[in-house]
Amino acid sequence: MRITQAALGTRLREARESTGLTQDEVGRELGISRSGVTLIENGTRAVSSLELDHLAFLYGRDIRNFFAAEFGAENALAALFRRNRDIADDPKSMSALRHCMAVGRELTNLERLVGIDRDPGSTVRYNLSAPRSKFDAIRQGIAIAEQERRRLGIGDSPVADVTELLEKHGVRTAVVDLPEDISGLTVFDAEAGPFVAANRSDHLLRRNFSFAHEYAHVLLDCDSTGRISRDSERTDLIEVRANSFAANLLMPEAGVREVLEALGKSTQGRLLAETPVDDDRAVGIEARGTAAVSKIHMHDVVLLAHHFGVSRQVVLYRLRNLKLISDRELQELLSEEQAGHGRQLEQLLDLPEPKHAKERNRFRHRFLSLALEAYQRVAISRGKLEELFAMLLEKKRGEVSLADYVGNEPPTPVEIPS
Amino acid sequence: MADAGVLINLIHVNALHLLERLARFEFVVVEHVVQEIIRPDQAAALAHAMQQGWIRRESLDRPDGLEAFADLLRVVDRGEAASLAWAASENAAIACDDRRACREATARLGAGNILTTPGLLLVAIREDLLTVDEADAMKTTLETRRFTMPFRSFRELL
Repeated sequence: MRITQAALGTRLREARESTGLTQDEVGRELGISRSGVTLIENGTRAVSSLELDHLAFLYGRDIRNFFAAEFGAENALAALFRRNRDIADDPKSMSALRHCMAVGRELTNLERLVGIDRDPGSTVRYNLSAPRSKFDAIRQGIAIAEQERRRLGIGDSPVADVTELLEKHGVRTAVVDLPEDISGLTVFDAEAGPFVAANRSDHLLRRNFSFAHEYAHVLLDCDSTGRISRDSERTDLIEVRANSFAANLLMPEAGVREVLEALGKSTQGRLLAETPVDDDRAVGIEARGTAAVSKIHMHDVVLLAHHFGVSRQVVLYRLRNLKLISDRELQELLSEEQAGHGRQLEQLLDLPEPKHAKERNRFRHRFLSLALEAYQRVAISRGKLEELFAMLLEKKRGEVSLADYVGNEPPTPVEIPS
Repeated sequence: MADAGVLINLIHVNALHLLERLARFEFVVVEHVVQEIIRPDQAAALAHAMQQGWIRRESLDRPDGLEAFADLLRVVDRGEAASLAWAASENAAIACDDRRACREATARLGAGNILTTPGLLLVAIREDLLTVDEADAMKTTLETRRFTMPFRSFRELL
């Protein structure tokens, strides 16, 4: 069924309304008057390909949506923004998220073109009832992290690359400039599937935790259109569960004990009773028992952090949760960390510092290699390849030169219209 | 309908004026292609060509064309998608060089609806707008930009 200009206008109006944008705002974005937008939405004025392309981006949609047999006025990003006006009112965050969603859709397209036909709805889900207490939330987080580790076949080993793990399992990842209070967010997009973003301003190791946290929302909270993880809502039970999951996914108890025992520490401790919510805070619950653990020093913490790819603060809270250190020891070690001893020891032990600036763009590698593969298979044009590189590297099209990397095009034959 | 690649090739060999003089064709460019040509000297050359009427600027805004544009974006860039979609909705041919875009053009426009840069230069020779030596010199210039043709001289094609 071919869509008419009037029907296209109606869809554009519905899409705009679902984002909460006014005709004035849209007009300003397009460089046309408010009445121009009204005419387009009424179907009285044609929308050009340039305008439609811009509108699809502005509304966080795939342009093909507007021509689909079924048109859903609501989309995940719009719903999330409506519920979180602070993000919707921050042009920088909005633009970055729209960009990332567009990248996610291009990645899905590239996967299809090279034969990786991933069903966006096929990501594993765990159906659990909502936690009734903090203890329940923590327990659920631990159980799902253990199940997920088993499912992924990673045993008690460190997760080498959280974003790679997520991408491999059908979750789109991105690093985005977000307001300070937000560590990450999850969106369930109909075309691209689950999409998670971590705050670009956070340190690489903190972002690893955020990605693992958001992964919990993907696995457990897919009944909503998405979630935003705010520091100010860390005591919310869903957030507690996600933090518990992240801590246990990144630092499994058996793995922690194994590393410590390899360092000559006895680790007979008591049950997990708390979970870190980020680098320097924890949600606690009561637990009984006593620890009979060899004293853990800052150099052990440094090695554990390096081994599991997490921050030293996360290690410290995890050790306390596992009752491998006491509250008093935690405070002492935190003071040492604040005094810079952790960093000094890291240098003394000759452990490589994570390359924050370089690693922040790690998620790009898979996208770009798929784009090159699609080009080599003549599944996309060279112009499309350049467009994708420019999009991902956030450069202008003319600033991206691939000539030295992808070689020459084969000779162009003579073709003349008959 | 002309894609950016062909236009940029012609700008490089200072032959955009041929578009006016090739009697068999009327050349059209869509907005997305105009936007893609961002190098100031190339943008100025295109603007001059449009001003002189050598090439007409069009907007892609018919719903069937927009739908084709949206679909084509999966495999080709915005300029190629808009050009192909416009050509398909207007039953026109397309001037383009890219392998993937040409494959898509054949699928959507049917065979015999593509004009490549070498094809355009050959038509210009046949219409006495270029000599073989001039066309070969252009071929050599384009080779320095990594654009190659599967023959040594246009003379082989005459």
